[in-house]
Amino acid sequence: MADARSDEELMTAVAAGNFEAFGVLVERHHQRVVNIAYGMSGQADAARDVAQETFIRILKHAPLYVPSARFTTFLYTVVRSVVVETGRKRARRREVSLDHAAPAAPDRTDRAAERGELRARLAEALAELPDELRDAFVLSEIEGLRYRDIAEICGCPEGTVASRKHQAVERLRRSLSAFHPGSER
Amino acid sequence: MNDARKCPGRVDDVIRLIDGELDDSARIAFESHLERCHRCRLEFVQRRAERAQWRDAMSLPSRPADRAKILRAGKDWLDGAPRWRRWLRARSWEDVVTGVSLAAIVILITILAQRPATPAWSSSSPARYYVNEQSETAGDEIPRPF
Repeated sequence: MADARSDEELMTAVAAGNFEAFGVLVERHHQRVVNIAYGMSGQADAARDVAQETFIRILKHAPLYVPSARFTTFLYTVVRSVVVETGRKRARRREVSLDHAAPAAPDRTDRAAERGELRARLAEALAELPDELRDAFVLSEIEGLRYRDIAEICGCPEGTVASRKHQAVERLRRSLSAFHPGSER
Repeated sequence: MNDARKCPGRVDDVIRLIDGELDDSARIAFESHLERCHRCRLEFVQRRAERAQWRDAMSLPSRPADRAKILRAGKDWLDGAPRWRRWLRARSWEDVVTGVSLAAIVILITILAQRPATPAWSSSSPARYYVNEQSETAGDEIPRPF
């Protein structure tokens, strides 16, 4: 049965030494953290390592958490800083080159193969974006965060987030024109 | 592919509408514009499909083994486990097997590299000659150093 406590209540419990509450937070947010880390780093293995490091930092710094702040904002801020510290650019370049080198598995369906190719192309196109555009894009587009939350995480005005998101979408569209849903019409 | 770009300022509004970032009055005004403008409507449909496609492509599965690993690492940290044990517990068994195998290979190569070119048990070994000579001069008695 799902835990009815809010993230903030769970964090307060974690700060008080309740390890079971930490487990609930991991179950609840692991998927999102992995997706964000993947979008920012472009490397699946690195994304999983980032997710682990993020949750361990959350555990270590739980006593410093202020319950008035939204837990997700706190969480994504930690993800972002872990990605930066682990040198996402270096990791991203490796992944992109590996993605290109890896041939498609013969038993994959067309749909899966197309998805895999889009994933590789998207990772490559994201690698070409400046960090600030990529962060705004991943947090908004992939995770659906509000601009005001992204502004808080990135430490910039909301208008800047909107502008970065727009620029990122435009650049990615140019890079991925072959995969654009309207390009076949 | 993006005819809506010819409709000034509207691509940005399409993105904001899909992201849920337009306030009520702006949203109502833009939705009314969408009803009249075929280009913006097309842009809206394309942007929505594109977002779904990109989200799908960038989604990695959350594996139970990864979550379990995080809990193990967290528990170890709470228990104040030594640093090496925390490092080891944070690894999967495949990582450990790979690491041990690599270490074994390195040790084997080091041992082989340090071995003399001629094996000690060979009949041409100098040590063997020494023992044989001593045995011949003093019968079957093996000489002691002192």
